[in-house]
Order: sequence, then C-alpha cells, then structure tokens
Amino acid sequence: MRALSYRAPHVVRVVDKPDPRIEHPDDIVLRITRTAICGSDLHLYHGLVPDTRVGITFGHEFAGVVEEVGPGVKSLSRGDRVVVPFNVSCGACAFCRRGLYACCEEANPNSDLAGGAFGYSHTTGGYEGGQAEYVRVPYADVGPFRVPDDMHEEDVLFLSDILPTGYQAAEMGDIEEGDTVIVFGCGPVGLFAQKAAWLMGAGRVIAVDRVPDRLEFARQYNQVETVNFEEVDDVRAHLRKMTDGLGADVCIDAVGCEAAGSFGQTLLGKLKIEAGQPTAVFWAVDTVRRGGTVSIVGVYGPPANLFPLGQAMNKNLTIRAGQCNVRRYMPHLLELIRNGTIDAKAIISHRLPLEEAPEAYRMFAQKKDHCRKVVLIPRAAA
Amino acid sequence: MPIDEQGIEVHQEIVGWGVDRDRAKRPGVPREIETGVDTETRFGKSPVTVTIPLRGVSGLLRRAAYKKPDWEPTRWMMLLMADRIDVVESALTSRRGMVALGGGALALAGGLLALRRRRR
Repeated sequence: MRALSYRAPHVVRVVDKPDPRIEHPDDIVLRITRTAICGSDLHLYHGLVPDTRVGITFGHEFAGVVEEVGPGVKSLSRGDRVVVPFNVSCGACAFCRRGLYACCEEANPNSDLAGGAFGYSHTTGGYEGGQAEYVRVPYADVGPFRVPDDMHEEDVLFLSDILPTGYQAAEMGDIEEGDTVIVFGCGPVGLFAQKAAWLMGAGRVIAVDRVPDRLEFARQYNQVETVNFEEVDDVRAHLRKMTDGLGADVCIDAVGCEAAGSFGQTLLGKLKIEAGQPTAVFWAVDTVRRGGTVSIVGVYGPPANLFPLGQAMNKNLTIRAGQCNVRRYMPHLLELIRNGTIDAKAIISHRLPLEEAPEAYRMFAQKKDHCRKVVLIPRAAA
Repeated sequence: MPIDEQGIEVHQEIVGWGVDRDRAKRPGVPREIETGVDTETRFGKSPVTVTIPLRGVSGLLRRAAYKKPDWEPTRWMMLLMADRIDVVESALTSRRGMVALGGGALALAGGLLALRRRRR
C-alpha cells in the first residue's frame, strides 16, 4: 500500500509499505477513504515528539470502510463504514471503564504518561497511523463509530479528534450561561471550542490568533469577537480591558507547544530548556478572572514547561487539561452535525491526494494558501 | 438581544446557542462514569505494536531510555537524541546513503592514492 513515511524533521514521503494485517482477534483492517492532517501532527513533523522513529506513518484522524474483520470482533462486518477515535482504547482496563479512553493502560506499554494513539510516535504506543491506504485498528468493538448510511465519511471525519477535543475543551471550562470565554487559537480545535462555548450558553466568545484569514474565518464561522495579538501592544492588557478589567470566566488554550507571541518562551523552547513554548497557557492564566477556569487542550509533551503557578494559586483558579476521551462524545456530536447545528466539514480548506502529503505538510506548517485544514484522499477513494 | 428568565442575553443569531446549557447533556460530565463493560478479556492483550524495531546506536539509546521512569527528564532527552541519531543512521543505510558513502569512500581512496604518488 501507499503510506506516508517520516524520514526526518520537516521531511515526509509517500512510500510503498506492506499492507497491515489482522494480528489479534479483536482487530479490523480499515481501507481509508478520508484522512486529515492535525495541527498536532506538526509537532511530529518538526521532530518535537520523543521516540518518533524514521519510517512511521502519521495520521490519527481517519475514516473508511472495514476490509477485514478479526474473529473476535462482534459489532462490525466487512463493508461497514466507520470513523475511528484517535485514542487506542482497550475498553476494559480501570481507566477505560471509567470513561477515560485517552488514559488506557493496556494500549500503551511504552509509557505511563499517555494512553495509546494512532500515528503519534512510540511514546503513545507506536501504532501506525492513518495517512495511508489501510490501517490496522485494534480493539475494534471499542473505538470505531459507524457512519450513518445517509452521511459521507467527510461529514463525520472530525469526530475522530478535533471536534470532540474542541467540545471537551469548552466542557472542561465548566461554562455557565452568560460566561465570557476567551479561546486562544483559531486553528480547527480552537474553532470547535468557540462553537462549543456558544452551545454551552456563553454570553461572549473572544478568539485570539495572529493569522488574519484564520481570524476572519472565526468571525464568519462562529460569530466571535477576535483579537490579533500582533496588532496590539500587550494582548493581556487588551483582553483585560475588553473584559472590564476582570478577565474572562473561562480561558481555553487551543494552541499547544509551538505557540508564537513570546520571544522569551520561544527561545527557551528552541533551546530545549523547556519542552516547547507554553505562551498560550501564560496568557490564559493572566487573562482569566479570579476564581475562573483555564482549560488546556493544546498538546504539550514531556519533560516539563514553565507555568505561572503563583498567579494560578493566588487567583484561586481551576486548571483542567487533557487529551480527549473521544468515544464518549461521538454520539452526541453526530446528532449536532446531523441536525445542522455544527457544519464540521466547512472548516476544510484543502482536499488533496495522499500522494501530495509532503507538499500538504509544508503548506499547513507554513500556513500558506490560507491553509486551515487539509484532508487527504487515498487513490482508491478518489 | 432577548433576555431569558435568568436575565442572560440569548444569542438567537448563533445556531444552536445554549443547546448544551444543561450540564446533563454534556457527554463528558461527570468526568468519570461507569461504562459497565464486561472486563473479561477473551483473547488476551492485543500485541504490542513493534512497527519500527529498535536498531543501531539509536536503538541502544532508546533501550537505555526506557529503563528510566517517565518522570526523569533524561529519559525524554535521550529519546529525542536517539531520534536525531535515527535520522542519520537511516539516511546512511538507505540506498542513496549507501551510494553516497561508497562514492565518498572511493573519492577518499583516490585522493589518498594521488597524494602518495605525488610525494614519490
């Protein structure tokens, strides 16, 4: 099969790889029809994620058609169309039984830090990802979610990661009706966090970024107020002024470890003195009101980052963070897509053949051509 | 903008505004639930995925790193260093890399031979 292969930081190629096969009775093999590049894939692409081995295939947002079924799989048959959570979850361990599918202790024997995930280095189990024509999906009765017969895989593709992640970000903020919410980041996760904030009854949603076309899209797609942090002297002072000096009730970090906006943090991150740049976390802590909540879904990795602990403690903040437990959100969010409340696929800016994945990564990383979200299409599905 | 019974402005212009106001509708609330799954594992654990086996100097470094616990920064620094070494090893052992190495070795041998002849 054809599949993306990581070669070096900033270098990926599409190569021939052996087709995946059933390795365990609970496996399926999925023929992929749609697969997306995630913002967090860029951390892999930039060589920032430990134990990213040359040759691995990235990709944790995919949907497709069941091609082969292991003898232990009860809920799926050949020909079924499914969208798959990025989490690899056994369903039976102590964490999965509590609904914490992102924390599965069986799926990732390499680390206690993280659960299993598709295509996200051996730090998360070393599973081959879905930027390919086929992928092996373990624990197939747990994760994969059927695509309704009257919907296309593209309608529901983002149920795999970014839509539930944006929703969980807003949920972790414990948003109450009338709350003021600041979302740092107008990438796909930020867009869905803004949308979810409205669904939860926010009174005001302010989105922060520096890319003008992303800010414009956020205004149109979500009807939010926007701030370009490169056009103001001090974004924190600006946001405090916008919120009458009090700060927001909830601040959401949908940016992660490659944040722009602070020379000092960027320097520390590039020199590997800390694991990336938590600029958005600092801004969130500084612009949330006393007693407010900071919700972190931006991806960060080990070993450690600076954190404004004194501000957080003295302001009586609640800090929530986490990878999304995707499977819990899929049914509810499917209904919101189906009834027209959320038009998830509207955020797609580029649809490209899988063979053009290297160019797609370059374009996405450099934010060229107004790139917002890239969906790759394997040749058999074109 | 209309005001609801709690005195909150209702954003009628936003499609779906407030549909998940009630926390009971939010799928992740409470954070921990009882899924009620049968924990009996019929077929044992799914195999550990050894998609890219350990090899070379990078493999040695990774093996050493995995002996350290998650909370040790050196574990992660060793893994990142191994990633860089892996890139070099993979480049050198690829077809292009072998050709480049072979060509380089030949060029070096030719240069040394020419130097020796010149000295005579």
